[in-house]
Amino acid sequence: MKKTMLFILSILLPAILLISCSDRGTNEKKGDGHAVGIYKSFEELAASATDIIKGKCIDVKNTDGKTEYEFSVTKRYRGEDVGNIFVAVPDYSVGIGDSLSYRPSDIVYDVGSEYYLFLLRYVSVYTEHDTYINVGGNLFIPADRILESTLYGEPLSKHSKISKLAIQSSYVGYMKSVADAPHNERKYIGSMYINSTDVATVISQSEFVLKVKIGEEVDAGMAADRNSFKCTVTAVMKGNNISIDEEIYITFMKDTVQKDGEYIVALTETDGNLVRRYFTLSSKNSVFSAAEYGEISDYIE
Amino acid sequence: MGKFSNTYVDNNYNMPTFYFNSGVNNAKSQWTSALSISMQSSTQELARIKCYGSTAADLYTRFGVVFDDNCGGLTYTTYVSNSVSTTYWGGNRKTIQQLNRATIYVPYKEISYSDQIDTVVHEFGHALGYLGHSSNATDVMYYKVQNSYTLKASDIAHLAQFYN
Repeated sequence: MKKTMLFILSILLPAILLISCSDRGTNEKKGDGHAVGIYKSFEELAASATDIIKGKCIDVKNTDGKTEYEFSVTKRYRGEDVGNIFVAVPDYSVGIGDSLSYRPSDIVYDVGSEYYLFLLRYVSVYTEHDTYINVGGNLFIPADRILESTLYGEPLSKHSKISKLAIQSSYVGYMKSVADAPHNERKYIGSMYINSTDVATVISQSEFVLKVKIGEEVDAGMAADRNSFKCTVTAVMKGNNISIDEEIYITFMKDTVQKDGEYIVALTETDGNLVRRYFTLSSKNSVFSAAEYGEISDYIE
Repeated sequence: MGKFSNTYVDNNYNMPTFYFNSGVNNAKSQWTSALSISMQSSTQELARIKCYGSTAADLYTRFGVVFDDNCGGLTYTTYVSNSVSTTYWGGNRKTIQQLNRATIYVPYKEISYSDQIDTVVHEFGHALGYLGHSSNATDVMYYKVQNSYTLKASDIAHLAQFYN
């Protein structure tokens, strides 16, 4: 009997402790994102935009609490034509005081309606498609309701040189003049990647082709769709200013490489001024097994 | 609310005009003194407050975090359920929350030294539990970046309600 009780306790006690720990876990709630804002007028925001378009909202998706709108471009004033674009509304709030504050997600685009969009284009090989976000504030310009345009939740005219928005035709002209005004020449934020999965194309167009050994994971748990690792270069197949045994950092698609494994990777360096050398995959097909060394070598001119 | 908030700091941008480290040191110095707490350096895994400074491109590539052009710095928090409190200070309604963890991202921007320091001190305020912003233009927790980065009595008194 005593043995039976001890056996039951030995089963139950860990279970009780486990439930207690779980309860502590559920006591934590995902909070909000808060940002300190740098005030910019409509014209200043327009000067920072990588893309300015008139677009028709054709779809909206809610995934993992994030909302993304798909637009077909009806008129492009600035930026590269890449077909339909996807506008995300980030999950944070920017403080513009008690009277001026905004959340990107405050904006709701209606499917079937047209809008003028001033956007920042984010490019990453790790995402399904490029991500565009409103360049700033709650800049909201419905094409067929120009009078209802807002920035920071207030009439756009309050934060713009536009004195009146009453005449739609003059607004369209002003839009064009804003788009043509001197502006930041950046085309996107992030690292551009090769838009091909053909191995020969990827290898020939990649800046670096390296054989690396995967070391410790860094930034663990910080992104849901990718892992970054400290890696040791074991062979330089292509690329300058990099050497064998050098330690570099590479971001991979989630769970696609194993620690201590050796791989051949085609890469782009994120930025030459980083403290640690971070590299991104040069395409969506840039990781190969070390056994493919000979085949990959054949593609290198 | 604990009396300590271990921190992990990662500055990955090698630009002389990026004053992220100075901002973090200033923020830690001011807030620990003001709230009588300690902030020890910790590992990324164990830290309650993680701070990342770099280019917007690097932060996007590594973490997938995006910033609009108004964002000076950005803090994401997780908090203890039902811990959000609304209080009044100096006639203004403000909110505080009991935090579990916070992650601060500061993208490099071509703004002044003072504005960069102010940004980091401000974001640490959020990381320590200050929800929303002050409507007092002289406060560091005022809504927008400003020249002064010295914590004011009202900045401190608000969070001190938790920490004291």
